[in-house]
Amino acid sequence: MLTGKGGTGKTRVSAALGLASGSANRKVLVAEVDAQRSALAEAYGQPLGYKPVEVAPNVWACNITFQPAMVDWLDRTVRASKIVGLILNNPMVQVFLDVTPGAREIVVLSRVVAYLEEFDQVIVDLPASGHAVSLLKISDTAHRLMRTGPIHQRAGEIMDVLRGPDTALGIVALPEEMVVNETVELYTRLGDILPDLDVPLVFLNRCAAPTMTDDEHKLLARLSGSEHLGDDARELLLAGRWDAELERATADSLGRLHSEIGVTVVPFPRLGVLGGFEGGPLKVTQQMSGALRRRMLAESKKAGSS
Amino acid sequence: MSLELLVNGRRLIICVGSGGVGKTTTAAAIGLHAARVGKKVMVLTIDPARRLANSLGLSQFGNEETQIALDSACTGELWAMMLDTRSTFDALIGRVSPDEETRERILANRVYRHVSDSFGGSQEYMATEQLYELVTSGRYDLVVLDTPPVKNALDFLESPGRLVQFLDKRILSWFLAPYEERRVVGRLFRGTSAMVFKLLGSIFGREFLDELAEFLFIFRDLYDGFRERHEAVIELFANDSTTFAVVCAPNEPSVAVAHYFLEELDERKMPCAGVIVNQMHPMLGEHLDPATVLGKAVEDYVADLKPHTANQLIARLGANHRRLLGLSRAERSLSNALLKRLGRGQQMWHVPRLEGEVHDIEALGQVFLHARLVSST
Repeated sequence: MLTGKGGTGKTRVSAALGLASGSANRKVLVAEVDAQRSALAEAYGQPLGYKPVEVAPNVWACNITFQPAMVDWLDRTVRASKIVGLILNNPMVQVFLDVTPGAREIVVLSRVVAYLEEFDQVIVDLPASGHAVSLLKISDTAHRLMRTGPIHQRAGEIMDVLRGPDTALGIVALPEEMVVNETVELYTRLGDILPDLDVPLVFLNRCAAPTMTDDEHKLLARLSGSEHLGDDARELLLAGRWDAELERATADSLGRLHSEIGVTVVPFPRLGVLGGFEGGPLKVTQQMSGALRRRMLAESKKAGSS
Repeated sequence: MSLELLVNGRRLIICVGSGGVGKTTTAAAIGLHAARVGKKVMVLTIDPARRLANSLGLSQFGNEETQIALDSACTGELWAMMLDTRSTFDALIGRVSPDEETRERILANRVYRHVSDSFGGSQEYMATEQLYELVTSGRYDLVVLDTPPVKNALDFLESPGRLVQFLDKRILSWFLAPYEERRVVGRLFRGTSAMVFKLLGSIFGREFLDELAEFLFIFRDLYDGFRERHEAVIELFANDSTTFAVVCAPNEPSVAVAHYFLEELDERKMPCAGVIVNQMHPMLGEHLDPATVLGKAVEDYVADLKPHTANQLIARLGANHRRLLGLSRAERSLSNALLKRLGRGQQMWHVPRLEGEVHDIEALGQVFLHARLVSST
């Protein structure tokens, strides 16, 4: 599962992770949960619906929306299509589901759990931090609030999966002070509400490894302080200062993530492509996936040699 | 300064947009701008208040109306406040409850405790509630709302309606009929309703259904109060002195969300002043050769530095600038596509990217200093 502050690129990271992880002997599903407009569809450059579609060999993607998930859920719970129709067509039921704490979330998360039987790996693009926490917490709430019946049972199953050894959550962050603050906080909160959930990774998106020398910094600062420069020069220097700022923020963020929460940080270099986003969103997803694949390869080699 | 078109004549400005685009900072900067031209302004934010506190240079503030210190030249006032779902919900129950006993029963009900925390959109509903109080109190000339980072973009507009719909008498009586007559779930029903109710019981558990029914039973009397408030809020949103401002950053996902917001607001006939595009890279749009532009100037500063420093930096600035030029062009094409989408009377503001993060009033004052109103030509 992936989450993170809004705007950090968690959908893109989920999409890239899916492309990097799927292979001849691993069938992977990348799933959004109940998204009103599918951001995953943009990341893969093709429309997505409830039913998984293959976006690359052995990589599937879908958006688990509530309505069809409810049909699936009732099919499995009630096992009588006539009754399923009866329930779904009743206007009162909709209202009931809206107000019942966790009903919606349990139905959607149950579908995620069900997909674990069909796929070797399921990557879930969760909503942004706060909503993700409520979503994960709600199984526990429902489990306690409804003391009997299928919801109780399903919520228990979801909790088992969340706590299980094969589940992990990654946080997507940016090298910015406020984003790192929220990441540290989210990590702490997850530890409080779901102490058994494994949170081993932070993906640090759009960062820059420090390459500028001290002397370059000095020269940049001196030039920036000069009063005899024209607009063109100022613009060049501004471009330099932005980059220096990103390098510094990257180093700060890496340092803080290591010292404050001690997780492994997977950096994604900012994509310095000429022309910005040229090539479209899918191209960006593919580039990020390439970076992940290289890292996975390097790590498996390292593990093999030691 | 180009914010007059957004601020003048408004009593309520609602900032919407996807997460991470600088919505909170934008809301605070609009508030500061209005305070500087003499208005008494309230900036209302969502939990956690830290983001707004951060940009206002405060360490923390709570759900009390808090005045922000401005320099003495400023003739207006800037206030900030954070939204606290639970206490607003509790206060609302207090206001619409006919008597003390009803109030106590609701506040103690287990389902209410969960509903007030996690009912789909309860936070958004409470945002509208608190907002209404502030705007109609007459204490402020302008209220700027920083909306919650909604999962489903306009839950914020829908949720009051949903709550009212849910409390609709007909729907409630459907649930409550068996309670009113015998307080036994399902027994007296015949036909479809009985069947559905029984099934719900088998899915959610009888015990929960009983508690839910009790909750609804108490809530039944509050319907009129909720409905009246909902109508008043909708009226407030559609009012001439209210406007929505869509905030985005110049990247694909965020601009896609902005398009979506424009459409949705349009469909709902909600007033929208236009789009604020944050973090634009203000490149001049031409390729620059750093060796030519900076070569001479550099010579004055390198005496005590390692050899090649000048060449390294010049090469670096050239590469950075090329990258930013590309980025800047891509940003412009995204912004142009949005601009075409704007209707009559809607504006677009470009806010250039600042150096450093906004952590105090001074930096906040810089946000709109170089903002440009972009026209569609």
